[in-house]
Formats: sequence, structure tokens, C-alpha cells
Amino acid sequence: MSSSPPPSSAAASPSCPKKMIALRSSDGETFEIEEAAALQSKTLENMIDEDCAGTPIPLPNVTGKILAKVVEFCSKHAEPGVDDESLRAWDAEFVNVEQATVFDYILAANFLEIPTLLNLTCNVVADMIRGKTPDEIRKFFNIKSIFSPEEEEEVRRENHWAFE
Amino acid sequence: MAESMPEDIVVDILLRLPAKSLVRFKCVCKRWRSLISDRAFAKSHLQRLKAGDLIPSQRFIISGCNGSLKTVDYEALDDGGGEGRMVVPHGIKPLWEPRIVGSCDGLVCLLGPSNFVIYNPTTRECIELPGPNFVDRVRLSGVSGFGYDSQSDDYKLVADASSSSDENWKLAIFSLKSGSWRSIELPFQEEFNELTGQGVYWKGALHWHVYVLCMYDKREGVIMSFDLLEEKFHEVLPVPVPEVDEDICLLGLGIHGANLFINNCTHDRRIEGWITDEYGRGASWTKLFSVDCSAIINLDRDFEQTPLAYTSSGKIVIWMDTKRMIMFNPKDNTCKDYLLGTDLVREYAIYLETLVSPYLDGGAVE
Repeated sequence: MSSSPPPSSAAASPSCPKKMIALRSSDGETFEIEEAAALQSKTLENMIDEDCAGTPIPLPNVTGKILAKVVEFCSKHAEPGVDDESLRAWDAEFVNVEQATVFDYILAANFLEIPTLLNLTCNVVADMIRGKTPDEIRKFFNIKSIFSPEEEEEVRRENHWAFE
Repeated sequence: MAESMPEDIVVDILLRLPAKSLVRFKCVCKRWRSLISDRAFAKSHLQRLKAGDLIPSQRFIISGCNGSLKTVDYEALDDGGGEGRMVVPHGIKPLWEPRIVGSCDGLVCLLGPSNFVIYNPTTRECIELPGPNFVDRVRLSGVSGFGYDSQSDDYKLVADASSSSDENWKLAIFSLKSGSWRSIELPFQEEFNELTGQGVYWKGALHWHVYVLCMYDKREGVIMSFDLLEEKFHEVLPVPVPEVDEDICLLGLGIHGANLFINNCTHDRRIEGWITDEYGRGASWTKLFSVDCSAIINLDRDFEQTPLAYTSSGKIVIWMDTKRMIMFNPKDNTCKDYLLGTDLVREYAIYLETLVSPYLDGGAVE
């Protein structure tokens, strides 16, 4: 699309249904997203309000690969007439990806302040980890345990029944 | 990239986990141990739990004559987990014939031979309360209960402190926050005669099922409550079915998820369960189940079989007698028997798995 029309000062509602916002990922890819979908992100909503929506909005924290998916998510969730059950099924498919990608979605959802995506992805991670052992958790989150072996033994002993 | 996961997101994820997982994850690292042991974290966790479906976090605690305390995870039994899922809590010195006073927010209040104890079966934290000097009287009879007063953000234990010489009714109230007892006097009411035993904590008050006299010398069943904020008794709910000519016998109050639960049996050997989330004389009950128990063999008529829970797959957990429990499937009239152990079970209470600590003033219990 050509350069966007002068931004309206009336806040969040799209002035015309097909108004597009341009986004640029950290690796230079440009994506277009309908304003209605962009408003799913509080970060983008603020930028649009503050008349920053003229040029492609740079998003240095999000790669093109992830941004494409985030745009897809927001567009789906801005679609009218989708019933709850189909949306839930669509969401389930959306997060049916490898762990590293889910983490990327979380970081993007956090940076862009998209509550629906953040909620969905946090639930996925919670489900992934609930049954894990502490060792598996450390591997999963890449946490270096700073307990000394004695301390760790003590903590384990205190909570041993939780491992049964 | 996992290292760059901001801590507030990690906390957000942790708050979605069941308490049991979190207790285990205290071992992950010092930071997690500190986070999970924090009182504010426990409070947020409880709030999230209450905003969702409580049933997956519900368990029973049963007490036996020889001081044994066990948790029954009936949903796990339903999944075919077998008796290995019954757990005997450690870290609490065996109380001789512990009486279960009540439970609230994952804290269970027990009464030992000489004092009260507040215990969280999930985190295994336990404190003994300074006793009032009439504990033996409470053990024998009298009203008791444990619950939360949101106004003062305090957990209260209520126990009957009257002696036969008292004109008014005396109740002793212990505040967990202040760690002290005080007593209140209430003018005696007809209904108080019927009030006995453990009150069920629900919506800021303790509840009992009693009979009150109404017109034509008839007795009517009602639910009475003791409001923990006002510290007064009220008649708050009708019962779901009128008890007519002993055809219907109300067995008791309980909790199902976020609802008050009551069950009854009928003359033609049906057991029914009802739930409500309303208050007031006009409150209505929804029938949760109604099953024909003639399929359950060996019904011991001297022991009132009490339906304890309704699982998410529609099975009913029934306490049969002092030694066993069954899981009855109304869809195909089958029963699965579970021995509750060698120690005769006397009491039970439903509780939630939470991280709430009985040490209200502490934060981390290191």
C-alpha cells in the first residue's frame, strides 16, 4: 500500500476497515497488518495513538519468522464471526510447535503486550512443565542451580513427599 | 534464549501450576525456592486457583483412630492410579484420634488430645496453637469450625466454649493473625441445640445443617451459618428436599468445587447430591446426581454411607464404613472398592492443594 493517510486523532477504532499498519522485524522484513488486528497489541495500539504509525514500525525484538506468526495470530483473533470452539481449536494448532518457538512467542507477546497470546503460550508452557523433575526444569529453562550439593539435599529432604 | 525469559513471565507461568508441582520446584534453584515460598506468591496462586476450576485441586484428608492422616486423591484413583495414590503425611507427630475441625484455603485445622493444630497437607507446614483450657470439652461435643475472614484478612478457628452452667452460649475464637484466643457470648437460641460438629467453610462463613421448629410443631431442615466477619449466626439456606416422614434423610454438607454440597438418601435406596452457589431463603439447589444404590452390595445400614465427591468423569466416591471407600459408576452400576488402611477412619474433610502457609506472619519458611 502507499503511504498511509494522516493518522486520525480519534483513538482506537479503525477509521476504515482496511487500514493497514506496516511492521518491520529485527532482520529487516516488512509485514502488513490490519489496524483492527494490530490493536490486539497494546504496544502497537499506543504507537498508533501517538501518530507513530506513518512509517513501518520497527520491532527490533522480534524476528521475521516470529513476527509473521504473530501477525497471523492477531489477524485471526480480530476476525469477526469466529465461534469460541473453532478459535480454541485454531489456538491449539497454533501453539503445537517446538518448545523454542513457544518461548519466542512468549517473548514477542510480552514485548508487544498481546494478552491473549501471552495467556495462551504461558498455559502451554505450564502444561509442558507441571510433571517435570527439578532437573528437567533446569534443562528446560537453562537455569544453573546455585545450590551446593548439601543445600540441594536438604531442600529435597524437606520436600521429599512431593516426589512420590 | 530461555535465560532471557523475564522473571515476571516465569512467575506468570509458575502461578498456573498446581501447588504440588510448585512444592517440587522449590528444588530447582535458590531464586525459585524464594519465589515459591513467598507469602504474596501463595496468595496470588490461591486467587488464580479460585478464579478457575477448583475440582482438580480438591482432595480429601481422612483421620484414623491411631493418629494416621491420609490424603485421598480421588481423581487419581479414577484415572486408574490405584491405591498408591493415597499418601500418608509425615512431619506431623501422630495425634491420638485427631479430630478434623475444618479446612479453608488449603489449611486444615485438626484437634489433638490437648491442642489445636493448623496443617497444610500440601506443603506439610504445621503449627500447634496455644490451647484454650477447654479443649477436652470441644473434643466431646460442641461446635467447631475453621475459615477465612476477608475483612481482617485472617483465618479464624471457632470452638464451643460453653459449660453447662452458662446461661448464654459461649464461643471461643482464635485468630491466626494475632495468635490469640478471645470469647464471645451469644444469647441462646432454640436452633443452637442442634448445632454440633464441624462447620463447613464456604463464602466467608461456617455452615451446618440443622432442624428448626416451625408451624404445627413440624421440624424443618435449614442451613445455618456463622458469619466469620459479623460473628453471628443466621439461617441462610433452605434444604433441597423437605424431609418428610423419614423417607428422605439428609446426610450432610460438603463442598464441591466452589459450591456448597449436600447429600441425602431416600427410602428406595437412592443417594442424591445437590449443589448451590446461592444464598437466601429463595436459594435453589441443582441436583448433581441421583443414583440407585441397590447396585452397591454390602450396604451397612448401621453406618450412613456418605457420598463424598463427584468426580469429573461422573463417578461418585462414597464413604462406606470405617475401613473402605468405593467409587461407584452410575453409568454401568459398577463399584470399585478401596481399603482406606488398617486404621479405622473416623473423620474426613475436603481441602484444596495450595501453598498457603499457617505461619501467617512469616514469608519464606527456610
